[in-house]
Amino acid sequence: MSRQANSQDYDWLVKVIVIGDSGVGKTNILSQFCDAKFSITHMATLGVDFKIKTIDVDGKKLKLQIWDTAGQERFRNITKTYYKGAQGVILTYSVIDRQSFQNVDGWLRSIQENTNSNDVQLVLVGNKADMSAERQVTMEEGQKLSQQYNIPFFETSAKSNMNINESFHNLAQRIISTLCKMQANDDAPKLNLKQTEGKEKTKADGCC
Amino acid sequence: MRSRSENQKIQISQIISKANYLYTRAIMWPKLMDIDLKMIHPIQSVLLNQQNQRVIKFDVIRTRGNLLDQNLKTQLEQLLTYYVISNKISYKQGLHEIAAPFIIFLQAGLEISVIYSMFNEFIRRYMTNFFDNDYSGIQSILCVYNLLLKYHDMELYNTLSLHDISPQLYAIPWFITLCINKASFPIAQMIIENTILINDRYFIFSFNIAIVIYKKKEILQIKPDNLPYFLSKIILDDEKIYYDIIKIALKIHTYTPKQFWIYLDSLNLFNHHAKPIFLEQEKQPLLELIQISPYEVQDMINQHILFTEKWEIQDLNHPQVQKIKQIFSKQIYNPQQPVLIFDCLDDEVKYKIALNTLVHIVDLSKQNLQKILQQIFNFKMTNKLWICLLTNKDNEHIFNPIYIALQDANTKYICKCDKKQFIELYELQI
Repeated sequence: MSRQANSQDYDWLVKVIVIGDSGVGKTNILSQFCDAKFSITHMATLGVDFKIKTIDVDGKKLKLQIWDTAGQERFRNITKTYYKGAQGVILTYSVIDRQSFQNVDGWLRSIQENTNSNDVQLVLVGNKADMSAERQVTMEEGQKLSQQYNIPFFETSAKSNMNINESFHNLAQRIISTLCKMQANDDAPKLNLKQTEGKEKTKADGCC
Repeated sequence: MRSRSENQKIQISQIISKANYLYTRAIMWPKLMDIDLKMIHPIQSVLLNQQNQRVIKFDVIRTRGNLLDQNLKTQLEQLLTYYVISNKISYKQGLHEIAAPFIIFLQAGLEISVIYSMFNEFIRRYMTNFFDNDYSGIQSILCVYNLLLKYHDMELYNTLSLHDISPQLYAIPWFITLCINKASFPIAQMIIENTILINDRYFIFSFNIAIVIYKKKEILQIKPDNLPYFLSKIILDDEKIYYDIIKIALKIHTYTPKQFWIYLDSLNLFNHHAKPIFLEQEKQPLLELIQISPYEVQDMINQHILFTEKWEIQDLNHPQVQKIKQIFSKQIYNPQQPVLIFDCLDDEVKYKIALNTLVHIVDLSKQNLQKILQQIFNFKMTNKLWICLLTNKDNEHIFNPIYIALQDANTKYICKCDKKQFIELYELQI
């Protein structure tokens, strides 16, 4: 859906989807990023919800149309239809929910199956990092997984606004880079969704 | 000094206004759903150990924010867990939104077993298969919705299609929670109540189409980039707007050919183990899918007769009684135009009138006045409510509270006819 604007509102309009298990904090990540708000009583997302935010990246105005998707299994068939046309994916798990971390593999497979993964930029996010007492997934485990798939990785806290902006800006920069290259008829950078057995390191700027 | 009738009027008015509130509903809803108040469910002793208990727990925490206190949330988790165990399903998101307007009745002193029975019955009636483990019907439902939207508002359908705004982007919660998760708590209770009173599980199609039609002007004006955001942010938090939408929905439901609803029945969309269907909506206009029954036309004519004709009822064999039976017979009557008959006739007479019809007999002798008033209150949103009052002349005074309630409900008196028996006919005006 990326397109360049006719008006002065923005230079690029891009579609970003946020995926991950139910309850990992996807909606709060978006609320923090778009509205600087956090609430433990956000309603569960059923189907998909939307946020819009225009950000400045390398002098370009990027209008992000962000799709906040439902995490529960029952919505999985529908969620797949939301991948169409996405240029960025924020794949989220919760560091206090081991199952959500173990399900990251499944989500990655889903991206592979439903997108042209060469054109899609990803960020892996381990949310709820402020809840250290309840932590079930270590940062090293998150980093290791991100290295296996060659995806930038951030541990975040939507509650304390830790690494939220950094995650989105990292993603936005790589989307812009892809778009510029595509515009110049260059090859888009290849995103390797297959496991690289930890040989390659991620460029996780700001990774904590 | 106020006259007796003025005092009575105020009293009735208060009853009607209180019908909105928790305690009245706590009495009404179990009756409306024929709930067995003696049924016991061991909800308190259920073990919270379901495979996805974590999701239940998390959804309960975020159900209706701080409106539900800790005790209610604890009970809500018990109730949801008991529900999934009893129905042999895994927990599905959306159930918590439906359960919230029920669990609040704990504050009105209802037993948790009664609350559970209502919740269970509500889903059984109106969302039969929505939470089944093998449920795959939402795509079919969205497909039907889009087809109906195309039928009722081609311009809106074309605009949304042009910008790739499919119902998948905005209408899923409108169906799987009947819009309850998009409604303020008072409106959520109205949705539940009207669903029970309207008692037509396909009404949700018309209601959801009414929402976009209500918002049509804004939808057509808004920048296409912002359309998904706009649609996802539609909330129902204003009673007047909600009733405006209901009014549109009732029109849509009435003006959708009845054969289409019959066609939907044949698709088994709302039954257990329903198989997904895919309608080729682009190629197949709705009217080609169905045949229009001659009754469609006949119904409209009959409705016109109701408006214009004076009823002079003498006995059950009178042609006007036959006309009532004919118009409201199960074969041809459209139940979206409800009829209440307030009746003080003896049982033999009244059941003869109601036999094989969809006429709703309300028996004053059983002291159901509150229920009657609640029905008047809730049907206030339709301009197609017919209210007939039948009694022996001697008992006319029994209807006094009803007259006052009808006046309060902004009705227009049409006619009163009688000798031994009489019928009064009111047209409800909005």
